[in-house]
Amino acid sequence: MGSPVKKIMLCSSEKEIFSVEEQVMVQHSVIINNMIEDGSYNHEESKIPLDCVDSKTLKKVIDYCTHHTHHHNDNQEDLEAWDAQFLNVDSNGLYDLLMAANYLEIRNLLDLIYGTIKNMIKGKKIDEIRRIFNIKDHGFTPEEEEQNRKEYPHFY
Amino acid sequence: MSVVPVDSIPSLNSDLFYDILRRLHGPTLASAACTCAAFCSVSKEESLWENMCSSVWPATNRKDIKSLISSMGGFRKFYADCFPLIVNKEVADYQEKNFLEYPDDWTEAEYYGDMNEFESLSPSDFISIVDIRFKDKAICSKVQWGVGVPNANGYDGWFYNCPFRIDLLTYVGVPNAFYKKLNDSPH
Repeated sequence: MGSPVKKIMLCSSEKEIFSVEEQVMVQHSVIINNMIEDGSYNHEESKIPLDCVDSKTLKKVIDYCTHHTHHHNDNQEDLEAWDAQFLNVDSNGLYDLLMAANYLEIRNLLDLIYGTIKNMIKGKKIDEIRRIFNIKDHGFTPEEEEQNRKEYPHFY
Repeated sequence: MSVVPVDSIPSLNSDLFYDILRRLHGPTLASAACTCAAFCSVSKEESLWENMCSSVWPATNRKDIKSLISSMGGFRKFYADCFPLIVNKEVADYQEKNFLEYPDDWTEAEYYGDMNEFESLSPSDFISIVDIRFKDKAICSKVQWGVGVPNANGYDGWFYNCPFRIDLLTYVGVPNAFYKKLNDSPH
């Protein structure tokens, strides 16, 4: 057996502690990488508090990073299939993941989520895009809205 | 009546808006800009259009081309000029009407405000910017200055008397299938 795997502790908003391979998080999260590099994380005592990430989301994020660390040599198709399955969540789940990935600066997860959002709105009518982004007040003046409708009738 | 709470993403801040928008293609970006004032103002960022241009046409990534485009009104205008149907008023509208509601030249110049200072210039030079894509991959990108000026850069102004021609001046790793396609082309 090899040397013991170095672990770090992550603490969700519900104060649940997750123990994760250090390498997994360092590779994916810019923030955690910085913490380890600048020595602000103490392996004996520290927990990294993630007050804006709930346990359910944190678990998913850890799953993602773990899979992509250990399976990065898999063929592209398998990885894409795994990603698609991974992002098979409702839009609240997608939003939570986006926020967590943004907070932890996990670039490839962000790209994946943005790609999904992009596909959600591609070719959609304005009303549908508003619904997807939960835009209740579009903030245009009636004149501007009228102008847009006139200029881009095919979007409405 | 059932108004089901539908699949929607709670409100995002403008950094995240920007991150989403910068991944969109022109048509989707243009429609996203109509959904709300926040998207609309973010969508006017030149850097979004610069990114988009460089992903569609790698040649626009070159420093000389970048400054050329900026001096001609920017990347947003450049993109709009290349895809007038997407960003501008629908051309079909004009053709169906028996009379024109707007003057003939009511195009992107008016859409983007006053760009007239450039219209009085006659071209002193042509520049050939060619990007070739094959199966969604940019395989060749070539910029040639001075193609319209006789004897400039050793070219005898071939742009003037040649309606369309591709000179593959350099090629690295161009797939065989591409040659085949070129050779098979009817012209």
